[in-house]
Amino acid sequence: MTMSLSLRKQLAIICLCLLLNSSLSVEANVADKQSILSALTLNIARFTTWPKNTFDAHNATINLCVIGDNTVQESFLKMTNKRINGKTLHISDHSRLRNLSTCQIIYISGLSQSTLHQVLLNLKSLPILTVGENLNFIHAGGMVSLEKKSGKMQLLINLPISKRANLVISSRILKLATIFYTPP
Amino acid sequence: MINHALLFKQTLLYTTLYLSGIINVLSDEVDLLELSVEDLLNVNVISVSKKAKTLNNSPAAVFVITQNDIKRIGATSIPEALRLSPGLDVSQINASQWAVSARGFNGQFANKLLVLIDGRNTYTRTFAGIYWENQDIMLEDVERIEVIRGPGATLWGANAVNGVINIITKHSSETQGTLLAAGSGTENKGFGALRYGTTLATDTTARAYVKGNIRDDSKTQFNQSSNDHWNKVQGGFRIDSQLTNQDTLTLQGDAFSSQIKNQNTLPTLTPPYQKNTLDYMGSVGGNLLLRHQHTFSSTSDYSLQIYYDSFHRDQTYFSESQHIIDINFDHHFNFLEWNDVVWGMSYNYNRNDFTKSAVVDIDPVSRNDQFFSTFIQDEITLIDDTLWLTIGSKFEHNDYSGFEIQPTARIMWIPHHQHRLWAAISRAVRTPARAEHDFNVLQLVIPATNAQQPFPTALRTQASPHLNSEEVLSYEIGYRTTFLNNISIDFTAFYNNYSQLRAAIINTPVFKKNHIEVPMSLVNKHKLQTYGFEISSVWQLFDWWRMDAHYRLLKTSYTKNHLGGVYSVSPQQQVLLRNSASLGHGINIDIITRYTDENFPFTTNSLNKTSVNDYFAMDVRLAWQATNGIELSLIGQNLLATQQLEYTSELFSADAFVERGVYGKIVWEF
Repeated sequence: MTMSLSLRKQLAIICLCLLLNSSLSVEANVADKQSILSALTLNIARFTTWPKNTFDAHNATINLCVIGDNTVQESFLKMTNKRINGKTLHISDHSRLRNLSTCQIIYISGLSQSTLHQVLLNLKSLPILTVGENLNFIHAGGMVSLEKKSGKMQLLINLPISKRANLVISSRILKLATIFYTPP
Repeated sequence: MINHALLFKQTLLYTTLYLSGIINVLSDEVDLLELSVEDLLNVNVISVSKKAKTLNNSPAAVFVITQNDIKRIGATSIPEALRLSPGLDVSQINASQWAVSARGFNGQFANKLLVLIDGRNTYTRTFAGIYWENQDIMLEDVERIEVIRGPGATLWGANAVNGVINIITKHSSETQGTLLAAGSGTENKGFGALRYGTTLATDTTARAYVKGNIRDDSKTQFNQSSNDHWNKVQGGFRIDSQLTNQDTLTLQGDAFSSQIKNQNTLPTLTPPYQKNTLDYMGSVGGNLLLRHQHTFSSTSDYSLQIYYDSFHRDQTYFSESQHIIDINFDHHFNFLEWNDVVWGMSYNYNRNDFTKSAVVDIDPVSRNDQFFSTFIQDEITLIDDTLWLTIGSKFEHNDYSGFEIQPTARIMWIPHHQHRLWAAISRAVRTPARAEHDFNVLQLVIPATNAQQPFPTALRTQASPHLNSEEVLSYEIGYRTTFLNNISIDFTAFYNNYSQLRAAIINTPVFKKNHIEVPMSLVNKHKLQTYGFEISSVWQLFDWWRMDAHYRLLKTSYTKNHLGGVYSVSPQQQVLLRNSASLGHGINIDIITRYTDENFPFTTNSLNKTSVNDYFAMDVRLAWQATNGIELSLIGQNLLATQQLEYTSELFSADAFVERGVYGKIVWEF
């Protein structure tokens, strides 16, 4: 008797979930963090200019390298074949931290602060847009960081680092960001 | 019969929900990629319980329990959290004791699983296993628990025969501020925890915590109190310092004190040949750990760790003290671009002292044991981003079985980013325990019955100093896929071939003054095989709703679970279904249904074969995030039965039934 009762309870709860679902999906202004982070990365890249010699004339792809676990990788894989400034986006998993100099954009997550320092140190002056999370990323020498504050994402940009790499981030993006002037 | 009908109904229910889920997901795609940066920065972020697999690329059967999982199932202890992992046997013996193992051989004194907390080995040489009632942490500060089924001996060492559990707590920079948790309920009478995290200097953060709990008695089969309530207080701290851009230093420690009520039935050589004892077992302990990590480059680093660990416990039939000093060095580097090498060495010193009793005689009572080991493992990239071969071995020397080699070879193939296949073959050993080596235990006294047997018979397990290690050769294959965007499936099949397993042999009976003594000793004799598969799947129906389903089948070529064979037989089948939904307005609900097949625990205090019936269990947690910092929750555990026998103890403890429990909890973070 107790079993069938709790089963009924469970059913009722699940039905409630289904009902609430229809009301939830109406609220379009809500999304999970990782989906927002990957969408922001794509959009910021669209407003970034790389030095002329970065891409050779025949190469019509732009490499976005992703360092992170499966949820991070999957959120970026959805963007495969999107276009950025006339080039096709190629997404690859670089969690093993190899061949990073072949990337034009690197999204970094899940590294210890020491490893992050070393990765960013190796990339310094290379024309690679580095995107990460939290203020620590800026302190470690990252270019663009995304931080959650009061339920929304905020944009942090370390301008001297992007300048050293000869990347130009559009003023349209810069005016939305908190700018840091931490010297390289 | 009712149970099976319930299982069928639930399967039907979940299948229907899965199907309705697909339809909804397909019609519910919102394309964030079409939004501008301005719009994206205005989107409200929700945290979802997506399944992150940090060890997705490892060629082993790995399952990760995250902080979010621990919180959302309302776990109040490490074993409760471990129930979430597929392929693990987790059974509560009584209010304070647990039996935890992977792929069989379960028991209170299970000896084929290795458990590490922040790199500290919780293994005790006494019985080559873990005193679960001694192991606790601030559960809110756990980052993740990695559960690795199958041999992990190459990297982690002896006794990682059937699995390794790696508990990793958060960096102290991630636990800044105050967290206050408190609750009360029917089984968890009262518990509270306070943690405070702060910044000590630039690049140095710290936290300290104190927690305590009072747990209620379980029930006997006659619905009376089984007198096993217990309480525990524990405190600890962690300091992390980024010394330079390349060096980090971690200092952490814990200390605990607990009082555990115990009801035992001990054998005696005088009538009525057994006596019931009821007393409090005091258990105190602590540890202190220092770790230095140096990063040479993004692909090369080392770690040097030293810790001290100690505990003391007074049981009715013996008391023990242990002091351990352990030094460990690991170095990881890349070699020729296609080799990822890890090697390391460690030294462990263990001082243990026992006091004996009429039931347990120990010789010698004190020992100093030493243990050296070294390992090397190379992950070789055979085809870039597609095929890897990992080979390695551990070499170690211990004072019980001498020199041991534990090699492994593993291959990982990723033909497509949604499909991962791996296979492994490994050898691992379980080194002898102090109890097997030096203990003389009076197990049972059978009273005189009639003229043919005019004297009582005492069964005594003798010290077996010539016992060697038990061995396993393990073959595993695995497949992970995310062939649909919202579904991931992880499948592992295994075949384990054990040899040199301990067995009790009966020696020539001896006539003593007023009884006949039957001495038994342990020898490496048994061979057995276990095989089966484990499957775990996650269905992310929506960002806010996730379903998990786990199933495992374990076959054991073994039936002797009483004298002669000295191991238990674990349940053949296990099922776990979990529903996690975030209903909006800060309301979360989690429903877990578990099925555990019939269990055959091993016991020394009866000649009869014992078994524990199969059972269903259900846990439900309802939580409300009232404000940004305050969460209220109501948790029901083991809801399907008023009381349930999950396991029986191997040694002297009375059977205890776990009761249905409800508790409320408040967590305040500021």
